[in-house]
Amino acid sequence: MARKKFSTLTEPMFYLLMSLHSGKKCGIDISEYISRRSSERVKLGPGTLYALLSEFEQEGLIKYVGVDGKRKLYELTPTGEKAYNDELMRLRQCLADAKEAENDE
Amino acid sequence: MMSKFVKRVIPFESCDIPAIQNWLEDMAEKGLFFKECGVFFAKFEKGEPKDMRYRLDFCDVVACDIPEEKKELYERSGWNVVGDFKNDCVVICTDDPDAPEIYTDCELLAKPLKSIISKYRIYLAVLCVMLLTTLAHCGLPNAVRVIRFLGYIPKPFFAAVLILLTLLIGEIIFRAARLIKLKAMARRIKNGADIPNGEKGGFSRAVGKVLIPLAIPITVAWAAFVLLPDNAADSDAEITDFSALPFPTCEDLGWKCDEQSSSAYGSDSVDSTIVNKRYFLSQNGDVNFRTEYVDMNSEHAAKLLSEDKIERLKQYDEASYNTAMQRRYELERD
Repeated sequence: MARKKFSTLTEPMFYLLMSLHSGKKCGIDISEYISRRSSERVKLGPGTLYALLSEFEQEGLIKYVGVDGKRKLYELTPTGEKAYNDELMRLRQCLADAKEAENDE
Repeated sequence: MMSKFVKRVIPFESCDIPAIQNWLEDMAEKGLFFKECGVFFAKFEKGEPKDMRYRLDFCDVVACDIPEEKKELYERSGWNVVGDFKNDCVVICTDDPDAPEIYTDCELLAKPLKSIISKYRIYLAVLCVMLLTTLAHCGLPNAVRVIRFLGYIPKPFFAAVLILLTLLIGEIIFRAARLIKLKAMARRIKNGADIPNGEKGGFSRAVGKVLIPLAIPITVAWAAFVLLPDNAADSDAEITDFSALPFPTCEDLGWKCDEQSSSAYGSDSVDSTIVNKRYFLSQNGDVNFRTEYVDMNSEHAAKLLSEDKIERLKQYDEASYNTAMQRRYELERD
């Protein structure tokens, strides 16, 4: 169910997995990472960020690995890594298809 | 010195998320700023009226609180955590019109909303059980028992039961309407819509002000009606011990009798409990007096009716009754 549910990730979901792909982080670090990486294009409200973390944790895409002060640290699980890589490949394929279509025209 | 705080009745349940947000914003416009929340009342701090934005966070709310880290992120985004709302949500606010919305991907709210819906389904089910047990105590679905119940209970008690039933039905309708609305919102959110803002909820606000604080008195009244053993609702209990019944005696009525006896028996008929008086002269001229309880299914009813009967018997003209009975006896003998 989880894999089917997140078979296509939304932009915030993809960026969240991207942020954890580069190492374990807490919610605030994730928020800052997404903002920086997307040049503030991708907005992730605090409510949504924690709802997403909770949902990803329940679905086994990420796991809680400890605390840093009062901050909970998360990292990707193998399932989360796979979801991120699958989505990355899908996006690359989309981009390649678009380029090919552009060249054909 | 005037208090800087005021209390107001909370006219919404915590499932009315858009309406609560709007209510808190309306209060801020009047210079009343949400501080904390009890079961039925919210505490506001008086201040200069200003435009505020209030939002309810109902994700990851555990023991009326959210993680410290989440609070910090709210503050970084321009929001302040104010306090909990009925243990279900956390109230956050800002006076910055440009602060980003706390939920940027509302689709994710479907799951937390589902748990709120489940909770309110349970509330509604409890209210329905309360209504059904109240109706069952009134005799439903047995029409005979209903007639008997309505006929025998004292009028003030009957009025109280009627008020209880009316309030229970009102609570159910009110909460069912809120639940239907919440479900519709959850469906829209699942399809990509945002949580609506600016919902006034004027009518439900007015009804909620009355019905929500009545929830506890209604529950207490229901418990008293249904659970306490010694109440008029027990009038349908079948009687087995007749000793407590006020069998009228000759002395009660102020009559002279040579012999007296009494008996009681019941049946399942709808007929009311009645007291029969038999007052007759025996062959040897003795005056016999006999009382009977007939169709007696209910102790409460039996007592009421027999007491009434005694009162009426006391009004009889003993002398003329005796003369009539004597004449009838003599005619029968001849």
